[in-house]
Amino acid sequence: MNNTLTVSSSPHITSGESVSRIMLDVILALIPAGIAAVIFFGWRAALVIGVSVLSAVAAEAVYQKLMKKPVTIRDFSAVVTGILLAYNLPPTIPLWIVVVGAVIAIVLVKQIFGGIGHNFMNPALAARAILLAAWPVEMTTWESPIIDGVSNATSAATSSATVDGVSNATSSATPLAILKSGDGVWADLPPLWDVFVGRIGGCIGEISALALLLGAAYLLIRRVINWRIPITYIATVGLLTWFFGKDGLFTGHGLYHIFSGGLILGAFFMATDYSTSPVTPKGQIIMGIGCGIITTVIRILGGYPGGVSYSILIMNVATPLIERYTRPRIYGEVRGNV
Amino acid sequence: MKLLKIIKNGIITENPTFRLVLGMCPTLAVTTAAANGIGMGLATAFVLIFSNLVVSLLKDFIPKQVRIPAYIVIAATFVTVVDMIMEAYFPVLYKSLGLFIPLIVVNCIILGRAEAFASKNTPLASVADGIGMGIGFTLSLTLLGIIRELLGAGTIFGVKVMPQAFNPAVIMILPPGAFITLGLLLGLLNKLTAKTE
Amino acid sequence: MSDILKIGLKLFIITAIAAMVLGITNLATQGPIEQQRINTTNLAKQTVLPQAEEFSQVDMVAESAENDKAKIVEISAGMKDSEIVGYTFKLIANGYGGDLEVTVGINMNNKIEGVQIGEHSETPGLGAKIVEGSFTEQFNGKDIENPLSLTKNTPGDQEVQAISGATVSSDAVNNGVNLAAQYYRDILRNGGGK
Repeated sequence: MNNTLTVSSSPHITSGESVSRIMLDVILALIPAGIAAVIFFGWRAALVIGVSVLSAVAAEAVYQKLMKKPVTIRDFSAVVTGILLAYNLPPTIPLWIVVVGAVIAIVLVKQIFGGIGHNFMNPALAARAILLAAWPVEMTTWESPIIDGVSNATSAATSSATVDGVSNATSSATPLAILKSGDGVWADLPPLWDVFVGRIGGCIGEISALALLLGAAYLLIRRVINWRIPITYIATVGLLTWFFGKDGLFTGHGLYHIFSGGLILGAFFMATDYSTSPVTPKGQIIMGIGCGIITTVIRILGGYPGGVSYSILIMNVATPLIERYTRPRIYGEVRGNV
Repeated sequence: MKLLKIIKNGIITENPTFRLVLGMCPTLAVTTAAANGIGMGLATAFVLIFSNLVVSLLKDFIPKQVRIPAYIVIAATFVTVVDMIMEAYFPVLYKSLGLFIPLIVVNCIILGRAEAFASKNTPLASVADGIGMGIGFTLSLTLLGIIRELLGAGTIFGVKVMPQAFNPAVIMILPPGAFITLGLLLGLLNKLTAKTE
Repeated sequence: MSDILKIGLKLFIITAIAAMVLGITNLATQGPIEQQRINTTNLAKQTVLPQAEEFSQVDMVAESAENDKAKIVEISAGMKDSEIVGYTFKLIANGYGGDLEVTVGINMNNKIEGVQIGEHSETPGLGAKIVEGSFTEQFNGKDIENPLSLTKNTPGDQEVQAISGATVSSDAVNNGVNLAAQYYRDILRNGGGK
């Protein structure tokens, strides 16, 4: 099988792009967030990323060998899946869970459905959702960043997050857990600047909005992704969470909601996945708004503090339907003939 | 010889879970533990054998136009009998299977076998079909239960078999675990049989 | 027309026989089922107050039997040689997955004798761990003079260690136990509610 033919969806830019070229761009764009993770969580974060990438690539190679299919690890898509999976895990995660997650992502979600371009869900996110349901304690044990200036975040840990399935056994609460827990919210929240830079508890790759935005800008400039899904997604979450605040209308912490949790990571790097998001411009806007609404509903009303991964997964599944209804009419086609 | 063939048909060739893909509601819902799988399987087998027998005996008596209501009444009678006996004598099993016992009535296997087999065959053959299908269903449910219990709780039939260090994957005994296990088993069986055929 | 009558009659015969079969089964199993139900409730009482041989239900003072987190549904006095040796409380507490049945036994030495969890719908593998002895046995022997509280670390004197990742479920059980203890302190110990 020729690698250059495996991406089937648009945009079909005649620029000699290939899967590996796009994937390399994505990897490059993800590097700043990785550096931020190492700065804030130490080398343990790098270890998790390394283990995740290696197991993802190994899983792909072994599965394809066993099934006597051409081995396609050179397209780097398994590397991207590995990185994204690691970015969605807490830094304290036991390494064997990382390996299990990578195998689930590659074999169960991607290869069984036919490999790259045929998966109906984002492999890294689906794996994360399965891991979260399988080992909820390990998956929600947050660690405070090792850098100074965290007094706010750690002091908040003692008071917050008694949501079932969210344990703060070791130390820090994430800003979202604080937002969720309700009382005395403003006082407990770390300064917005800390949240923006990434000096907070959370998953490896989601903490630093700054680093993620750097990478996202690169992808936008390189035209690997376009603005529609991420911008509509983030704007929807920001507006809705601000609108439906805890103390009545227009009192929510929209900015906190934008910069904390996996929103930036999810919006730019995962909701935009080619094979699981609509190709039509209108469809992409529907996807973004849909993700935003579901995320907000889960964050405000749901049992989990964060809802980015679930909302993207749900919209992944809805993608064929969205595409069906937003398909542009062929010139001369009679209206109403869907 | 022919009866054995009918029984084998139910267990392997037309296994209700893995071949006919019938009765998915109890299959997915109660297989959180091996013991539940066996309990549900046997309860269904009991109902299946007797409803097959009665339907076959009455096949000339039951008017064609109302055969479906008649089958349902017959199945519902046996299910209610099982339900009451279980509550009286097997309270632990009854508690864990709970809601799903009454639901045997609408299990497609029961109606499916009544319509497709018992109403066209002799009572003896129908009982054999009930036994075969019942065993096939019980084995499939037990297999699912064993896999899910092993990975989701580290036990089989309540006995701890995994080493202390094993950290059970809770998802396996939650609903998604049922779908994942069933899907993988179906795929695996298809792959295996595709080779032999 | 006669066709419809014939079909109707046949269907009627089938349903009539079915009804008869069910009636017979019902007669046969009625007794054992009733016995099973009594056994289940008695078993819970027996495990939380082993020294009692008989149980007799006690009237409740409604306004003390309920707070916003839990509710007492039944109180029994445990008797041995026609002496009261303790009380059992059956409570409903608000768990993570809905109502949660807790049975608490308190003996005459003002100590908790045992705690048992009945029906619940907590998350398997997480909240459902509250039924395990390693959690419920922590309550045994605790003093009822002061409310118990949950901790995530090694529990102290009036503390119980919560199940990791299942704070809400652990808290629900603790609330139930505390309500039972409070009711015992406020009413039963002073001879009320008999």
